[in-house]
Amino acid sequence: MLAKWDPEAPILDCVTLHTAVAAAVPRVDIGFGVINSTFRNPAMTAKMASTLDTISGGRLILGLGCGFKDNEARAFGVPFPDMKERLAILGEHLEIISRMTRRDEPPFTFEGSRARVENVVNAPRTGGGDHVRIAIGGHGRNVTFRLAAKYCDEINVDLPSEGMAEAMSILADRCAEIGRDPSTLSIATGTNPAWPYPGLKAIGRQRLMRKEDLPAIMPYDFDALPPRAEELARWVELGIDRVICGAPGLANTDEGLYELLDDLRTAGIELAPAAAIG
Amino acid sequence: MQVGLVLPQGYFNEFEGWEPGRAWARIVELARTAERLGFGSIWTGEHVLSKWPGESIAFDCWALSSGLAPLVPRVGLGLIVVNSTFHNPALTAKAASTLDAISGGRLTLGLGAGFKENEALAYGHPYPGLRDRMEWLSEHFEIIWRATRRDEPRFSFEGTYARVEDLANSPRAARAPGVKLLIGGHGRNYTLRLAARYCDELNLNVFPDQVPELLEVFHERCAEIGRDPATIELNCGTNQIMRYKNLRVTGGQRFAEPHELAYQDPEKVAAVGSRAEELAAWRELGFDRITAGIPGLHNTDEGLYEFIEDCRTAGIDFFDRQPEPTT
Repeated sequence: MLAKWDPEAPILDCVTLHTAVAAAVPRVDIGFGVINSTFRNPAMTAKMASTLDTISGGRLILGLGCGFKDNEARAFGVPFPDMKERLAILGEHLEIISRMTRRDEPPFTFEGSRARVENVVNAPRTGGGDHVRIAIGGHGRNVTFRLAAKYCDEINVDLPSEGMAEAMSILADRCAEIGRDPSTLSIATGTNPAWPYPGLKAIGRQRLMRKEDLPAIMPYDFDALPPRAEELARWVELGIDRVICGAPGLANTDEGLYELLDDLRTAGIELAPAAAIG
Repeated sequence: MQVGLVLPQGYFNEFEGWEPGRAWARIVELARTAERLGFGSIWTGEHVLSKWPGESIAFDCWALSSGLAPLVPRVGLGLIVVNSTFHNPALTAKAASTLDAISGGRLTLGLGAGFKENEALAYGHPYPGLRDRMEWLSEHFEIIWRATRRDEPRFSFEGTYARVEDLANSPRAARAPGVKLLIGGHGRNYTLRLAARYCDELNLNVFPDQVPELLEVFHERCAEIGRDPATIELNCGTNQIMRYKNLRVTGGQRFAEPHELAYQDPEKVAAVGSRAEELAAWRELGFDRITAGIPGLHNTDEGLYEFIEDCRTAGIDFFDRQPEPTT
């Protein structure tokens, strides 16, 4: 909602923007990584998601989180309680949103202490599939991972490769706790467009982060950051299902895309060009 | 006179039993046809439940308009109206500025306070009395207007229903002086005052014979704050579920019984004349825009052509006013 360094710098609303992109770009998945659910009424988020899933022909991946920028919450007049409470809000939202976006779920009532719906009808619930895919972002073992196991198709784990293997094993446990097959939970991670990977050439006019710019909740060590291709290769080795790649400078130039493609190839990830998809 | 088209989006149970992708495809097709035929704008509005019971499609208006923006590149994009009490107002401003940016300044953002208690209850929103909802809407207008004006600095606002703190919103609007705002209704104390204070366009949801007196009040509301009433566009509509006399094309539309139209006198609804007569009355009253709801468009384009004939009969030839498509 506010640009990282300068609140007066342009930043677009992700839902509006992505809906227009979905209509204009017909084949790829349309993902949110992620929407701050605490800024919105969850039933309205579900209604929006179902329409967007329809517009995109079932391509939506609705990523949800509970926010971590108190300045955005203050500016927009949204409460910003502590992390535990924000996750509790997200938990109730996931209950409402996931049920409202499953095709065969009947109307239902949910009375939480942070959100409620009453005999709620959401039509359509999906663009045609049996549910709208839901993702969560984070790396909290106790709450986030349990929410992922309970509600999500995908989790975007914001951890460096060192911590990833352990996180994946805990995620498998969280699935097992509730009798879910861990292989049905897709694990994603990503490269951040503003990270100073060593050796990056095409950065356009991107301002890159320094150590002091890293939010406290992100457990990365910029001094130990490997070249991007190496980080990608480690993720491939770990069996990550999806990498969501930000690349620097794309506002100004496509060059960063080609450098990213090179890095992906080096890491053993080959993309199929659209022409080949037909 | 400009003529805009209100797209079917399910509120009037048009898409009952439809596969959702097919309904979206029909909406896109209609929007493109409307643009080609010379309609100057396309409109969606906010309802989270269909009017008549059942589990009938009711698409989200923000998503529809955002999805249509890149597919229908020339016409105005109107929201008539968003139920502002369902959204955080700063977020509404952010979404409006984004839609205005990606559409090249084509957005008209209509805001209302909602009138369907069942929608509020089902979706977990408070639904206080009308006066409180209008106070609530007033605070939202203040926040959204300021956050979408190009020349407004950052600001803080602490209201009863909404607050922002040192709020920045960039970009604010694709065109000076700001995102175009609209209000709909006919309430003398709140609606007409909010129109005078914040709006570029006022949608009056009354019959033509009620207009002169309302305009008199509206001119007073403008005079109260020193605004020239000529700077606000007057908008009126035809309702797609109004059973005008002698309509040929109904396209399977379910029409309202006289008592089923919100805020309308059932006797007047029962006695409604032909649509062409009503359109002529709007023209004579000097309205700037008609937002046309037309029955049966989910099933057939025929209603568009009958509507265009009615416009011609009423002396409104809107084709002549539209620029040639530049492809």
